Amino acid sequence: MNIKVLRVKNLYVGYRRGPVVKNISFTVQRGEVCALIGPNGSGKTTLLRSLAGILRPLSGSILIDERNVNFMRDLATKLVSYLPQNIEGAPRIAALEYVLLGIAISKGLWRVGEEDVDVAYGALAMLGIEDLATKNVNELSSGQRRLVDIAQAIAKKPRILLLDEPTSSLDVKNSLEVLGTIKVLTKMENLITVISMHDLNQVLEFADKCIVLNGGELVAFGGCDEVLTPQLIEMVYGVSAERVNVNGHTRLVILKPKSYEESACSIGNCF
Amino acid sequence: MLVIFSILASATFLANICIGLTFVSPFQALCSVLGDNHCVDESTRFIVVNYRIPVALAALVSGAALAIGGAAVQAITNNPLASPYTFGISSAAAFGAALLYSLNISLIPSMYAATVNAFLFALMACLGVISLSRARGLTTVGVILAGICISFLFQALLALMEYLAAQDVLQAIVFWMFGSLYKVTNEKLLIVAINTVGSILLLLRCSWKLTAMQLGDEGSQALGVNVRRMRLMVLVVTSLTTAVVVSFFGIIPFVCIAASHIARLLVGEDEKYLLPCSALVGASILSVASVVSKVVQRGAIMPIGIVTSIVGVPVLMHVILTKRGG
Amino acid sequence: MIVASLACYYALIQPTRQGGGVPPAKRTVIVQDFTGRNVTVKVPVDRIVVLSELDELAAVGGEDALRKLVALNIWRYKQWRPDWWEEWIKHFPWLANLPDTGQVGQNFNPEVVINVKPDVVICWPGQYNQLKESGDLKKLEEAGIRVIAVQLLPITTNITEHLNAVSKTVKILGVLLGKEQRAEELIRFYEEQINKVVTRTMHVEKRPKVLVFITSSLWTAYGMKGYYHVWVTLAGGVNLGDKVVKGFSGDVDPEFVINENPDVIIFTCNNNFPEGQRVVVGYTINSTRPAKEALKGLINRPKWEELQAVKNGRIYLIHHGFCHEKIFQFFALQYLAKWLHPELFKDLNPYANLQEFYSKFMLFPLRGVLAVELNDP
Repeated sequence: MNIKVLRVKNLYVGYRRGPVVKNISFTVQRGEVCALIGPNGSGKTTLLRSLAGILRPLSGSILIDERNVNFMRDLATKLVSYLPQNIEGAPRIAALEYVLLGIAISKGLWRVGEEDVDVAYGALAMLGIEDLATKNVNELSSGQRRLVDIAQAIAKKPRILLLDEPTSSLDVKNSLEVLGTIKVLTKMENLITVISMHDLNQVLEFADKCIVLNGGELVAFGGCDEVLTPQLIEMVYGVSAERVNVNGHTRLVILKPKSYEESACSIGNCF
Repeated sequence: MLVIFSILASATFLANICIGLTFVSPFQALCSVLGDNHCVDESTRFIVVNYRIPVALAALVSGAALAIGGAAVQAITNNPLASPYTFGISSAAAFGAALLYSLNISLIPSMYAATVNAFLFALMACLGVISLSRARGLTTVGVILAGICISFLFQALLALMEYLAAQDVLQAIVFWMFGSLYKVTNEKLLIVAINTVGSILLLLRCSWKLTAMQLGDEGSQALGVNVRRMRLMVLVVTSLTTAVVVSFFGIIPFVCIAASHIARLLVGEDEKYLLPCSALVGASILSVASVVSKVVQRGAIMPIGIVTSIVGVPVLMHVILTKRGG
Repeated sequence: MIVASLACYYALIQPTRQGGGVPPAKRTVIVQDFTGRNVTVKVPVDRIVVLSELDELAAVGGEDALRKLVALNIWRYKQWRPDWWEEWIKHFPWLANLPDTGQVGQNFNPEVVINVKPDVVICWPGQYNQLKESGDLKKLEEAGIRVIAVQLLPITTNITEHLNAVSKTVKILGVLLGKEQRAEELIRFYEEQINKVVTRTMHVEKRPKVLVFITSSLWTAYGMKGYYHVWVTLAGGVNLGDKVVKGFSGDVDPEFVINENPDVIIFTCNNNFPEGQRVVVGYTINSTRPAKEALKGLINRPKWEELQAVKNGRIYLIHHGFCHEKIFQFFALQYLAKWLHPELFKDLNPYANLQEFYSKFMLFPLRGVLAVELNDP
């Protein structure tokens, strides 16, 4: 089942203490990698959770191909893969079994078939970690675990891929490779991908669209090149940045935050 | 691994049949079952058919029932020390029996009043845990706290019954609480067996989801597991299974924790292997305990609850000492 | 002159009490009780607290002794011997107004005892130990209260030791109550009843095999340290439970019962059956039917129909409360002797003997059904 459009309209999402995400609207087309950026606490995780079907929105709508799917958990299970920022627990099961877990639950299986095992193995291979297949998850390093988690997410063959800071705990090389793989996958399989990211240069490299949140509100939405201006970055993040051109690639150079110089705090002065 | 445990379970089952006041050889046991009167004498046949086999079968299915109850509860609370007993099922069942003995109140008057009372109160305890933890959103912590609360409630009520009891009523309550497989009857065996097998099948169907629940609420929900529904289902199923065993046979502690711990050490935390292995380990443990209870003082039967406690405590200590996270 | 006439008047009009006319003068004695302590006490005492049971006090001291009660362990009577309590307050309603000390080990209140300023507190050695452990004993002793522990059924099959224990207890009570003469009578009666059995069973050759079960649990029998070890052995039998249960009681293997094939099976219970609270024996029962029904249910176990005991109908039920720590416990021995050796004791009538005891020494007549044979007519 191919999904063409994921649309969010006037979405309010939050918890008992109040809305965290306020009045957000955007549209993502299939085959697009959408970066979700914003400072800590701006509501990125909350937004992803509601898109994943885990958190019921307070108001507004989430539409998949114009069908309102607010909090339709079953639909979400089959169509959506959500990778949380942190996963508790490192069970003593083999990485391959761990990946199969995602497949089995999403397909509602009791026993997995050979094709499923192949898919699982293929997902591990896609991320270059097929040699970890028989290793127990509780014996993996945090980076390896993250890769296995990502493999689990893509092995489910979702239509919508939601990743919350997938590259945290990954080194520079692995980060770039993983993001590259995800981008290729998105294009090839016509997925709708939303990734919450911190590294703005990676955003520029891999993402097509950018959703910028600040304080729970949508500050900007559009092509990343247009959206990520130094003014926006300064307004949202409070750091000054400059766009430079390196070998034909647009990159951002982050300078120290403005307030830093004005801070009265220097070594020896604060303690 | 599954094969090894099956063999272990069968071996201990056989041992339970053969070892006792008089030793019965496996061949004689087989003859007894087949009803062939030529290869075994009448008294041996009688003993095997009327005492050895029912008790051995009871040990098998009860051990399995308690073990999967423990494994399932541990899966949904992510805590290797959790068990259906920590919901107060044992105290509630004992209270039910004590209520009958002390105040002659039976919820459904019948020949089996003590058992029925025990069963209904055990279910009430589970209902209490479920409702209380629901108020806290059926979280891991919620379930555990609710269990502690209900457990204390029924322990207090049980103490009250004991306080009000006449001398031999007190004795009766105490004897009821000591687990004894010799209370087995064919009907009880059938009910426990159906219950156990049903629970295992039900839990195995959800084994993937149960494994996922070790990833925490966020992680398992991300995979599409409805954690609240899973917890509810597991609570109901294990409540039923454990309540049946406790009300039929009394309180047999530690099998829940010891069996799943041993199985976990050997097969890991993949529930689709852990559940059946725990069941087999549980069956083996109880069979061994049954043998020990017959052999310690030949001619007397040491209450099986005491045997499992003595064996279970070192296992529990091992769990506590090697517990990692969760 | 007025004083003299008053004295004569007093001496003449004084109602004759059991055991003598004018109350004896007080003297100080040293009593050695069953904990081995030497207790100094002024006798006869005027204020008594009983933590155990009333029958022994009444048997030795009569209604006088009863009237000297200032507090009583009523809780135990109400909870554990309700039908006995009913008999007592039927004849002596004022007993119900005594302060309740509570049961030692459960809800005993030392203040109740201290408030009534007793001369002596009478209890069993087990209760004495519990008082000591809980610290209540110290409180009582600091208040100058004497605690005396008496015992009537030590676990021994040595008849001399047994009779010595009974004699010592009764003598202590006699001294305390100023009824030494009556105490002697009581001891003589008791010894006579015991000897009726023991003199014959001492030489008996065939000792039947006996199992004594508790009704509160399916397979629990009395063992080496249980009361019935004493009674069965003295009655000329062999307690099968001794072989495998080394403590007071314990579960026996059903196979053991089949293998041993007991000649006699005895069930014991108090005045009620735990499951369903049926009352089958006791003061308030007039017919042996409920007990027989109960027995029929109890022997309905696989292959029991082939046991000697069942085939010969040698199945019995006895009221446990009459069998231990009672001045009339000879009743248990006599019933068991009759059941184990019916030919030898054809002339023995335990119930009649107990009735005689009651009419001579107790304060109300005996009634009720206390021991039942499955097959008696």
